[in-house]
Amino acid sequence: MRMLPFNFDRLDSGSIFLSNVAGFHSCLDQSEFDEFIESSATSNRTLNDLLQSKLFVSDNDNLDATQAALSSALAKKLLGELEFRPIFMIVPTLRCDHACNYCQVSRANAKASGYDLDPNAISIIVSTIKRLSPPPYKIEIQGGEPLLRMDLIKAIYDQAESQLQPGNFELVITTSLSLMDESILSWARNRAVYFSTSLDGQQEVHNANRILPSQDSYERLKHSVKRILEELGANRIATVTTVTRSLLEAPESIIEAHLELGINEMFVRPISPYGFANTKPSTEYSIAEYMTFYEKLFNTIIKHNQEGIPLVESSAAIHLKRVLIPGYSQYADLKSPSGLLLNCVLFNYDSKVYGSDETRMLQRVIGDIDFSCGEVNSLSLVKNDLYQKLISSSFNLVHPGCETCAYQPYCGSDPCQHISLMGEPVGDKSLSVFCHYHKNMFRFLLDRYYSHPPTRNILKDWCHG
Amino acid sequence: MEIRELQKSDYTEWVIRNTLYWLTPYSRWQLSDSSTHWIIQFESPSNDLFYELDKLLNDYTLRENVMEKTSTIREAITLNVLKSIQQRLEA
Repeated sequence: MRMLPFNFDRLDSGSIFLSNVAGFHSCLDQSEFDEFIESSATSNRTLNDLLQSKLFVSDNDNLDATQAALSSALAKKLLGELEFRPIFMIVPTLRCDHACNYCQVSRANAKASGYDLDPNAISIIVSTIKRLSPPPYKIEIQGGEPLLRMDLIKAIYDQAESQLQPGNFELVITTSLSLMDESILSWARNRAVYFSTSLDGQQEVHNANRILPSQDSYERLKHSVKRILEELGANRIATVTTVTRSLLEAPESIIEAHLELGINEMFVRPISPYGFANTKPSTEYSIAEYMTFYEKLFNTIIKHNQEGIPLVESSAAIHLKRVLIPGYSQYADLKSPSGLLLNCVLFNYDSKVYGSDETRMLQRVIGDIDFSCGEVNSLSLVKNDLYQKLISSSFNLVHPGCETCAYQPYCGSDPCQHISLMGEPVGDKSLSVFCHYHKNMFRFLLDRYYSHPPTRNILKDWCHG
Repeated sequence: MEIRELQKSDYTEWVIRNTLYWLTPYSRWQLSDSSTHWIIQFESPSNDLFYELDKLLNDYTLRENVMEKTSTIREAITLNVLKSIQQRLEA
């Protein structure tokens, strides 16, 4: 038997997680692993067959064919990740009625001028979207608080309906919902319009993070979510929870907040270290602290599921899908090369076009470098060689620290975060927040998946619906 | 400050450098060598640091073992992947 290339990591339960470049994986116990390293086979014949089927080992007669299969799987994976399948983001305004502690994109005051999209640009933006990609289109309206310019959102929808055709697109409005009213609900009712909102916990925590002069962000959100559920249905609203220090001690607050609002699915993530998001010492915490929090949250969610309350934590589902579902690559953060530009084209309020939300954040922080692909009237995906450099330096397969990592085939690359924190795109993975977060998520979730069958069944449901 | 000396006959430079790469969050370190030893100077020694050091030395030695056994296959795979991608791009 001949051993084929693989990487490994030790899980908390004592199992050893193996993966290869094709994305196949297996879990061995310590004695099986020792045998495998020593003699390219274990004493368990069934396990040997499994390892052979997953291209961790080959008999000498089939070595050429096995090598070819591994190569073909890796080539297919790389080409899949290089596909241009963007979400289109449009920023109608940078103005916002909130003044949140950790706003990731900076903001402009709600009454400021010069921070809104020129209505004349909308037709060009939509025609550009049509030229860039075949349907179906996902158009995400970002901010600021986009509902401040509902007129522009309606104009974007109308242009999309006219140029892209109904049924070929959906519009997701990322909003605090503070300005939601009955007229917006009524407008959205028979249109392909969805809402994505931030929910940071129950009233006290949410209002401490999401700062409105009236101090009633949570109450407004609660009312709006209730109305969306009543009028439009549960599939029209999704939440994102950004974990701040005040939430670290109260993971149950996130669950209670979702249950209170009647939402069963949550997406929980650590605070972004980008730009404006983590500049205040009170919001800082380590990924180790986050994982302690996350474990408590996860255990409580699993307990609720076992008691018949079907809660889903989507960041867990996404990490596991990357491992368990071949070809799953719909999450831009977990892509190598990076999903920059390949998975996102952002049309900013000032007509500039960016390859991701993160690049527009970097532009606000590092003003003397042009992170854009030009303006919508003169868009060029190749003119700014920054993108070529960033994408070509984002293949984690060859990154120091990643090349020997068992989670490399499933993980991604975030050149913008590394530029933001370290001044260069590859990053020292031993200090990288991106690496610490995703590696610990994979390690934790796979450990639970393989060491606890009742949890595995719940996680399978999350992954496979 | 604490100095660890590891025999060159026990660990290659690849194992030492990959191990040290992941120790930066625990302590600043400096690597030098003599004809027989790797000499590592740690600025902030701790039990956690040395636990991690031993674990990483062990695991990178195993990884080196796997890499040695699979190096020719690894190179062949890389070549095949490049050929395959080229073919698909030309198709």
